[in-house]
Amino acid sequence: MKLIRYEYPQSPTVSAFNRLFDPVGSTMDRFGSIFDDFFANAVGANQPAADLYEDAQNYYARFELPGLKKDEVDLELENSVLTIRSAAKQESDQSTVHSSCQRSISVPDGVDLDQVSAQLEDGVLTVTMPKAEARKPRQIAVK
Amino acid sequence: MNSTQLETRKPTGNTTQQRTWRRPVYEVNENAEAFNVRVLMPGVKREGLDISIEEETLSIVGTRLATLPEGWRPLRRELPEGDYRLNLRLNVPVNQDEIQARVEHGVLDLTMPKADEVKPRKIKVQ
Repeated sequence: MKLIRYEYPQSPTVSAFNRLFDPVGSTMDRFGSIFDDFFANAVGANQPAADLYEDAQNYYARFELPGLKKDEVDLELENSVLTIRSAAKQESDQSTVHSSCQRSISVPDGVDLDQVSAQLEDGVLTVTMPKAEARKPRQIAVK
Repeated sequence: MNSTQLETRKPTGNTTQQRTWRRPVYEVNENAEAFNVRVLMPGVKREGLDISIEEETLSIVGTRLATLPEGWRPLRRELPEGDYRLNLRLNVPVNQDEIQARVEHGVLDLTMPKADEVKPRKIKVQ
C-alpha cells in the first residue's frame, strides 16, 4: 500500500528548528512534540494527518477533522485515489474563518471500490475499504 | 523493604499503563461579556470530558472513548496518540457558576462569563 507523502504542516524555518533537536534522540519524536503542536496551529494544518489500518475484511483510513459536519466533507474516489476535501466556515463573534483542507491517499490494491464507505463521528472520519474476496485470508484444509 | 520477599504489589500510580497526553489545539476569544475557549478534540464525546476549575486554573481532560477496534492492525500511523489535556491559567476572574460547555463534532466550546467586576460598565450621564 502506498500513501501520498504527508507534508508536515510546518514552515521551513520551523522544520529546521525541529531538526536541531533530532540528535537528542527519539524522545523528541515528531508526533506529540510540543514544537510541532505549537506551530502546526500557527501555520495552518491544511493537510490532515491520516492513520491506516487493516483487518481481515477491510482496510481503514482515519482522519481527524474536528469541527466538521457531515455535509462539509467531500470524499472522492477516482482511479484508486481517495481524496478528502473540506471547506468549512467558522463564525465567531468577531470574524469568519474559512478553513479548508485536502488529502489524498492511494487506495490499496484489491479493494472493492464500489463498497467503500465513510463515517464521520466526533470529528473523526473513518473510511472503510473492503477487501475484494480474493484478498481475504483463507483457511485451506489439508486433505 | 524485606529482601527475601518479592515485591508483588503494583507500583502506585499508573506506571504499568502510562497514559500519554497530547495538548489540543485551542483558541481563546473575548467579547465584552465572556471568554470563549474553543478546543479541538477529535474523537472526544461528552462523556469523555472532564472540566474543572481550581482557583485560577482551568483544566480540561478529554478522553477518547473509542479505542482501536479489535483486529485492526496499523499499517501507518500519523495521528498523535493519547488523550487530551489542557491547563489554562485564568488571569481574569470569571463567573464560575455560569460556565457553559458544549461539545460537538469533536470541538469543545467553553463560554466563561466574566465576573461582574471586570465587565465594562456603562455609566449614564445624568
